[in-house]
Amino acid sequence: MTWLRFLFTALLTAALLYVLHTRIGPVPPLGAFLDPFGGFWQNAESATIEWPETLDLEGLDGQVKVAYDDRLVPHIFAESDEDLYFMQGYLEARHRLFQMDFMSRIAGGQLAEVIGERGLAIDRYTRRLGMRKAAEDAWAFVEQDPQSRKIMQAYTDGVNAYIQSLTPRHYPVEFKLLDYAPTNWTPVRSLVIMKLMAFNLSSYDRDVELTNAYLFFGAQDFHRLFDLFPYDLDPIIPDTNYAEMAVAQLDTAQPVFPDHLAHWNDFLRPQPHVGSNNWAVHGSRTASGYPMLANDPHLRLSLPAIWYEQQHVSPNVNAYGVSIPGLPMITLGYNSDIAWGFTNAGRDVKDWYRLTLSDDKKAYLFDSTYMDFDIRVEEIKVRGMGTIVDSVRYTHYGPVTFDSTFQQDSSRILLGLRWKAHDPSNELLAIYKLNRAHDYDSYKAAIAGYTNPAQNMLFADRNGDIALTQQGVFPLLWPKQGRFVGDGTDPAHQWQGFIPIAHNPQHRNPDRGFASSANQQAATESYPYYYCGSFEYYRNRRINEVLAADSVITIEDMIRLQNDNKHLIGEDALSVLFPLWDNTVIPDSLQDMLIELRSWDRIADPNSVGAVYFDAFWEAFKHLCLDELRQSEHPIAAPKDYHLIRFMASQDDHWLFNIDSTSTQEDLLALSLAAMARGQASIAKWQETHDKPLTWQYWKNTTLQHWLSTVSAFHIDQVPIGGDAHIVNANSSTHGGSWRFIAHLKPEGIEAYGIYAGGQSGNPGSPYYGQFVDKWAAGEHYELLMLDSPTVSHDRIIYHQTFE
Amino acid sequence: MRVILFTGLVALLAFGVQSLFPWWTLIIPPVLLGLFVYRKGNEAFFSSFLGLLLLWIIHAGLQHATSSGDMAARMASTFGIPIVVLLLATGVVGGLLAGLAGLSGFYLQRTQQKKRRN
Repeated sequence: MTWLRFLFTALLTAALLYVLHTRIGPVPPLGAFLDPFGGFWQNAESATIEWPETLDLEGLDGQVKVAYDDRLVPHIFAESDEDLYFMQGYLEARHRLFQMDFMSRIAGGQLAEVIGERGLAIDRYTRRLGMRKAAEDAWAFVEQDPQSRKIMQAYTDGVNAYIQSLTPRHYPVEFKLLDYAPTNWTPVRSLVIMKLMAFNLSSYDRDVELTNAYLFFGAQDFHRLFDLFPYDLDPIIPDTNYAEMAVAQLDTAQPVFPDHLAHWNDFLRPQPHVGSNNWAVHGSRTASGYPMLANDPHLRLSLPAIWYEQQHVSPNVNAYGVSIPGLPMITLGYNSDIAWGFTNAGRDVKDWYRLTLSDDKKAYLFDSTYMDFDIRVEEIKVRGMGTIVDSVRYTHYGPVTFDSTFQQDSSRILLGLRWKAHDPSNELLAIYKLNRAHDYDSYKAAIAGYTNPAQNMLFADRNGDIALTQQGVFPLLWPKQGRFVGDGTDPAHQWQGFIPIAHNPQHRNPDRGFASSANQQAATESYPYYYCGSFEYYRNRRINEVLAADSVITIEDMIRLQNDNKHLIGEDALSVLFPLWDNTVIPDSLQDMLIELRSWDRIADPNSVGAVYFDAFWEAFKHLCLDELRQSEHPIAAPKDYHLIRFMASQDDHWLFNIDSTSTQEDLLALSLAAMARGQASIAKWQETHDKPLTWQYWKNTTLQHWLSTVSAFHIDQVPIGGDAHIVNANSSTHGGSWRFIAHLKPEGIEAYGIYAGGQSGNPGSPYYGQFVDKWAAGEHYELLMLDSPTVSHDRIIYHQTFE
Repeated sequence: MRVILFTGLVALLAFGVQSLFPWWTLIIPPVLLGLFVYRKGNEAFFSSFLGLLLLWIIHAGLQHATSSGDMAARMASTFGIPIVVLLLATGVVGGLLAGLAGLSGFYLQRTQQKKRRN
């Protein structure tokens, strides 16, 4: 009996211990997680810094001094580049280890190893896009350059020095939540994050959808709805004469369209609304007489933010700005002599080719011979399931991403993928040199080796120069090549070479006195090279309009323009619709909507009510207008708002404006009235389910999401900020001006202002986690602190640390 | 009186063990006390339970109180409970495991005593 009693309690104890030590579904092992000695309570932090004043780190050659300012920005002073990037790795790991680990897992196909089977589809997708292979190939290439190898190795060693200093109780809280340990960093993990940026910035293509749209609309309407070169293009480089440019001759061909719509899938397409603004004003148009430069990249608003702020000083560099944790160097910012900022080029460098298979399906036809597939075996670890082997077929174009084993049914045609990001390249060396550039020539020399993702690289210096270069390597294309799915059998359809970098659109000290880019087309129609892609039609026009109207620009003007909420889509769309509405009797039931739209000032401020009504109306309008596309079982590209509005103005009785679900025939006017009703209904529904005032900020609900999207307590939502996609202040619900930067390039030194959406600490239990968010939402900037020495006493320096 | 004494003893020993070793080693002090010290089942369970409950609540509470408070607030919101309940739940989890461990140790002790008497 006593034995029985003992056995029963002992078993009960063991069972409880087992349950508390085991991860059950998304719930972490509760005992370990709640344990105040090692669980999440250990991750509670105060604003007080508790790091040791001096710390020995194996791997450092000399002494590194770090001063921290009141925003926890480290100002790193090292005696060599290796020590500098070692320290960057160490500090980024200390503040952002989980983010780095998770980003490299998402991009490199190692997510399922920690989150289990629900990560498997993403792992297979990134690997089947060739991202892991591309990162491995990139490292083999980067490694050949001794300087690059040293930097990458030093950075890697720094990250690992931090990881090795950790005991489980000090792991970032996300590791405890997901119940896994950080694994060592490698250069490939850094480069895979580079490929994640390439995915976000250079993998937006609509080849399949546009092929379907061409078949669906016919040539004439397709041209109206998808014209890449509309009349008021307002390109990035408006003033270059290309008459002298000698262009290579290509074997040209015509797009080949299938006789029926093709099918694909929408699995994890890159977001079309990543974008950015940058502009620089020449001293001839500023109040001070010196250049000013502004930049705000619009990326996914994540927590921790995509950016980590720091100052880098070694004997050959003094740079300040933001980096992407996982990637060495300052990505965006300024140094003692120059300032720079990037926007995305948005040109299509990712093409799909229809494959014609041999009878045994082991080869594909190209130039009248059958070529064998190469097979790359991807081994994917899946938590709780062991290792899954995925064999991916490769053509000479690149991988066959989708097939009957992955996201596509077996009756469909296979597509081969050619993507610029597959080519080995060394972008980080370009950034390294850019960090050290001191004038126009060294800026041009620095960026010359940068290939992908292509960026509009804006420059200004203390000598008074401003310049803008579309930097990247782009394929030579015949007209319409790459816009639609290519014919994989025809050599004329493959990329036949690349545009010489010297032929990329660019200018220096343009006559109009400013340079600007906002993801629009790069060049005027006279540019001799064909290109396609996804381009902006609104932010660029607004920025250029404001800059052209003011010839004595101040820093305050620059700040105001970054926060500009002018809603050009609203203005354009309503300027087409109001003449129609003015000539008809609008039913009483729609008067609310009509009154709000009429009185709206076309500004998307946080407290705007009109912006809500327009948004509700416009979403309803597009929903009803594009119903014909949705009814197809195939993905058909939807026209951009810009093209749709022009189409409304010229084709108001087109069948596209009919609402299929009604028995009557609608034209633009009838459709717009139906959209008003539908928009009003969605507002009424929102008001029933929300207890917030009906204003733009609450309607839009800009949210900074933690990388673990299901842990909503780590998000910051309801950020009181205006703007939207296609507005200069480009904050939608999920994306926005992630880093806002302004530099004033005075001869005696650069004054700079900046802020990003987040905070330096990646720990949701730290007061520094979302430290900048309120000020960011208010449209304000911090004055950036470029220190001359690590020991200088300054009222904003709160802590000093020495590593040796 | 003995309960108060043993509660303190469990807490003190568990504090030492947990400062050095993984969380589940907290069962060692209650088991040992159960084997060699406790004289009653009630005493074994409640002293161990209270010892760990208090240790975990105080330790977690101190870390929370000396921080900005964000961590506990976010976690409590994840579980959908107030911070106080989260703190209490933390204590109960540690306490329950310790209580059962103390009881197991005590019952093991009793099996040996039975043998000796025989």
